Amino acid sequence: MGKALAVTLGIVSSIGGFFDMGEIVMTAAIGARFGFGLVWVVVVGTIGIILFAEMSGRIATLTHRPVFDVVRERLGPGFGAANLIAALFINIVTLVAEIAGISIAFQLATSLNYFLWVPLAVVLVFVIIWKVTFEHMERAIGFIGMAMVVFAAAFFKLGPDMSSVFHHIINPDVPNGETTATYWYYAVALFGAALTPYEVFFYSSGAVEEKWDRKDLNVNKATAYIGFSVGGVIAMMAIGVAALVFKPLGIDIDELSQVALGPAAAFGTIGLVLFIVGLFASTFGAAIEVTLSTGYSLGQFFGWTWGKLVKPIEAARFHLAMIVLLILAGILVLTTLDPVKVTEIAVIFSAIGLPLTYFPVLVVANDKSYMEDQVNGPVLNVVASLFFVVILAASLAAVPLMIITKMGS
Amino acid sequence: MTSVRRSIASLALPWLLMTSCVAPAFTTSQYQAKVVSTSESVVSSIETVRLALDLMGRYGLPKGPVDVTVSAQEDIVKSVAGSFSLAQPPNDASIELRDQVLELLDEAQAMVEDARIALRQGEVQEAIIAIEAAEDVSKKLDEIATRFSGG
Amino acid sequence: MTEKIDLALELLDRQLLDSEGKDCGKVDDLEFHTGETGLPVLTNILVGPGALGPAFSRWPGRVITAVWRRLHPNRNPEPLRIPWSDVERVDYEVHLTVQREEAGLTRSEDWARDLIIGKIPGSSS
Repeated sequence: MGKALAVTLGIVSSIGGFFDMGEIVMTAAIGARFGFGLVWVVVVGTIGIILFAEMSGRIATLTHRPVFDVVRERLGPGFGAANLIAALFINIVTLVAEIAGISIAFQLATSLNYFLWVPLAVVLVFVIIWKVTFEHMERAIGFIGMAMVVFAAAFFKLGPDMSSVFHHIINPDVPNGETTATYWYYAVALFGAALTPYEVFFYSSGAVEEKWDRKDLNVNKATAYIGFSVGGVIAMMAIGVAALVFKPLGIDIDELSQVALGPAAAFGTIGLVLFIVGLFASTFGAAIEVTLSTGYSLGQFFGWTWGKLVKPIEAARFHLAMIVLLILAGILVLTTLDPVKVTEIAVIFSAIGLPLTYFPVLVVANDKSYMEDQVNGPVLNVVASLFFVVILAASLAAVPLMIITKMGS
Repeated sequence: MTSVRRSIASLALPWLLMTSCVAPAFTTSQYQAKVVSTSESVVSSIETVRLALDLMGRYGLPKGPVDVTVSAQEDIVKSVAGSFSLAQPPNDASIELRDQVLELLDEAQAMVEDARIALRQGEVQEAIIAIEAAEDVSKKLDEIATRFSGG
Repeated sequence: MTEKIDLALELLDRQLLDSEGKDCGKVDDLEFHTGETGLPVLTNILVGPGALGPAFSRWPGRVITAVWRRLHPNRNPEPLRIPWSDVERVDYEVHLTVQREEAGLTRSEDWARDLIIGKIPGSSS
């Protein structure tokens, strides 16, 4: 495969990985309530996921071992287990949200209640993971997910006054009727949506499976820097669409179906259809990634045979763990949990759990015995270390903010 | 390992808070907060239905997704109104406020329902007329929400 | 094996690979016997939840150990031991000279395969 193609594919899949249920729901909800006041968080979050993914990819390339392996080895079973438990919890809540998202995409397309689609969604995810040659499927999903670019197009079509938009982005304020606490609560939520841990587990485990070596370090950089930046830009535009369409009308987002009205307001039926297609592809892609990343985390902690390139029969525990997770998540969706609330919980918990995974990655990326000449450079190191402070602050603030604001109400 | 213990505790606590029930409104200010959140929520639903039907009229959006959107908002209005009617007003002034809000909620429910029925019958124009009639209700609820929020 | 290694940093928690390069768990704990000189001598690598449980203090460790005991077919199970003499070399991974089946390292993998995964169509393609 040509290098240019590899880079393109990597970029496409990282855009897809960035824009999932968490982004779809949180950007719409936040644009509707806070206008452009929290766009800056997307910038911060995007820088974070770029740093995080690039370091993890580099570690995987140099050591041929994924993040979880290194976490346990470097920081011991206690830290490793804390990490594992947090990851499992976040992943299951995230998977519930993504499966609900897939089902709601079907509901919007067919008008049949989304509960009826949950079993199909679960089976579809399982089939894709079970099929060994799913790489093509993954890429196809990535490309279809690009339908979400509709948000960027819609933003410009709606024709905002750009100088006023920039003014609001650069001078963020808390709108009337919102408290400072809710503002920061949603800031943390949006931050968590950009930095969901499964993306990094999936990304770095993929690098190990595809046996990246030093030649691929540039692919790693390009994928992380360009892919996640484009994802971040789309997320900002999605906030913009919500700010332009919903905020003036006093609409709050509490149903995923409302989000479709943004692209529809710009492009009518085509906008609506692109949204539904993009919703399906991005939540479906994310559901596959979350499920696999759960298998990876467990396999890497306990030392099982793991991976999508091995026959299922040779990685039985890995596959069994994923099947159990999928069934559990499907059942949880059917208990009529509110998909929007579940998404919110998932992104908040991502923010809470983040220091646990980011810290060891930062440590190992600086360790010459693992990284040889590829340790973080001085500038990167300062930025990445400062970012750890941001991550820690968001994590520590999350729970108090959640209690004060009663989950942002 | 204390780190494990602590991380589990920090995960479990918010979960418990999340799943615990909403306390019934007792004090005047709590009741007013309930009025505000109820009004805002119903305004949001009415405006969503208006937007959806307006876009349908303008761009000929397919009926299916619009129906999904409208029905979901109808459910929200019903459940919010139901929960509001169960909240105990703390004093006479609150009872007056309650009556005023309940009347608006009833109207809102009826109008969203009318819009949904017309939409399902394929009468888009009638659905639009039905929900446009709710503009006034939406405005009044918005005023109430503004009056009692932030004081 | 004559070179010096830091056991805690370079042996504990490393991935175990069998003679065919297949994954077969982690170095969950180490067992020492007192040698002739009175100094501790590394005799066994301990693998599996039975070894991992005691590595945790307080309740998480007790939970892991209790679950493992409950699920284990033997009444008084012992953690799995790999004699140090079966270790070929240690780099990023720990390479064994034995097959994982012989070493008894595939019990839970076999269980998952025979009971569920092997029965799902397409599992061996």
